Amino acid sequence: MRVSNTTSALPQYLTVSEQQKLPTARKTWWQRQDYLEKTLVDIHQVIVKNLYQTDVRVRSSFLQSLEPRVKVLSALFLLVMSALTRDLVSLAVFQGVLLLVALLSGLRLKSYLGRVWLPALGFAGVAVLPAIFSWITPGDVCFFIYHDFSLQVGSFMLPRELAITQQGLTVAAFVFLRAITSLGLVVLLMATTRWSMVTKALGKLGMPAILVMVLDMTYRYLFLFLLLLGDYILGRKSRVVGGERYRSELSWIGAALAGFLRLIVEYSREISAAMVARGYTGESYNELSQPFSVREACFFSVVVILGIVLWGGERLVRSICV
Amino acid sequence: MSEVFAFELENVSYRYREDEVSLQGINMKIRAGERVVLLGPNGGGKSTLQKIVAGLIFGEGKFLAYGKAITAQAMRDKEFAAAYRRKIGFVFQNSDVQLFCANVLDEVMFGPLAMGMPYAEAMQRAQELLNFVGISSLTERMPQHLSGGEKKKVAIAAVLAVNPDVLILDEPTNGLDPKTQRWMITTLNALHESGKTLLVATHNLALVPEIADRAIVLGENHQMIADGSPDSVLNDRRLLLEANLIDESTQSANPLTQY
Repeated sequence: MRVSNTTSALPQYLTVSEQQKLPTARKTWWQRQDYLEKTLVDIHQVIVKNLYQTDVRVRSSFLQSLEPRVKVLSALFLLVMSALTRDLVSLAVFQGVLLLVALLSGLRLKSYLGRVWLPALGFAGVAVLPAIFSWITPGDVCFFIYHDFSLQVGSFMLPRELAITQQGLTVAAFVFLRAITSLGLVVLLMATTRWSMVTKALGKLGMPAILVMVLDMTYRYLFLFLLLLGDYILGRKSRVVGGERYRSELSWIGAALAGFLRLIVEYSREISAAMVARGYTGESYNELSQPFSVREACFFSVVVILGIVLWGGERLVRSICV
Repeated sequence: MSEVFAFELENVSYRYREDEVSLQGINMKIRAGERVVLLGPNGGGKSTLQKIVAGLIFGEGKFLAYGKAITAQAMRDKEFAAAYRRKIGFVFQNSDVQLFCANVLDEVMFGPLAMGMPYAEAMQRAQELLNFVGISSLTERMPQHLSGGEKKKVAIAAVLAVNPDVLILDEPTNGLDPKTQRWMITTLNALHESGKTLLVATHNLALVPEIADRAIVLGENHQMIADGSPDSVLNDRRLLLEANLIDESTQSANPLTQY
């Protein structure tokens, strides 16, 4: 079965095995951030996190056992109510309810807080920070940063005082609490429901079928392309046979983006052809059709009551007190 | 055969996440100049093992290549990493992920230019290689406009352009037509005869006696379950069934006699 000797066909340089010795690796304590290496690690982490999240989504805990439509409706309803409420205390108390539901659904406290509070602090928190100061929101002073101080540089004059105001704090607290409420609701929905079920529920609730299909496919192929990108970077890494400058790495990243985009277009064509070959005509089939159970009806009733309390909590408490 | 060990693995394991083992307790030594084939079921860890050997990912345990420890720390030394990549050529299963230049000629010249070869010499080497793999008329073609077999040939030419001592190939004959498969087998044997070490992962049992002196089998438990001559492995029906390389309906122990 052995094939005849064809060494003569090889280019001359390939017939000589170089067998160069490997140098001794030097220990490098400081290392410039390798962008591609970091991307590889990030891709790996996204996939590992997704595997963990999938495990959580298929558990039979509190929210996981509910019908997706009920969860989507409940989340949408509570999102609207939390946006309409004018009661800070209700919003704050509602965080406790969300946290309790998260724990009952088997979510890790650290993971929940990391996905809700950190982005809220980083985005809403930073954006709303200037609003607490008297320059932006004048009002009753809670704390003076400075007062009776004047500084003029050219035509610019610093106001005589800077303070944190009660009205500013209230505005900031509203924005921040609304942000964590919205994020919390979405995180709870996404962490306890498979993506395909969320999109199907959205389809049942009136989202156009084509949009549902696009959302489904985006999620599916996002991971395929992430894996492909990981291999693409590994493929290049395996061929870096010379000392490489940072600039050359950066220029490769630019070129690789174009190359990778081309690859995705090519795959997209194949995917589209495969869909057509399997009889896809633009119609989508939605499998969520069973009626709500008593348990789900009860859950939604509680959500409605909770939403009303959230929206009119202040007025409700006042009327009870009166 | 050379007395030098190209690779020595001691108790090497790899897990993509804490509770998911991809490779467990691998112990093996490969001599320089050996032709080794890796067999195993889908998800058995063949590609992972190849990536560890190529220094692309790092597992637990001890891994030496030509007597040097290959660790994440060692590969952070750019000079060492470049020397290692030059010594070890890796041909991926999916050629698309390996071809990242604008055209075929750039692709083949990438390696020689990266290792500092003068442009004219790199060009000559690239042309020789493209002649050798039989795609010299495609030099200006973009990789996405090539057929599967042509892409595989470009990927091999690109790797051979730096004249590595070791060639690692992941499913090299997958999706190739019979003529290109035959070309691949002939080429691999020619490279082996010129002193290259080969480490080939495949499902194609018919390929084993043609390209290997030694077969290593990974089981569904991600452990090494056999290491022997191609004949001894292919004649062990129980082993092939255990490794999910044949099914119960396969009559003969040696699947080659099926054809």
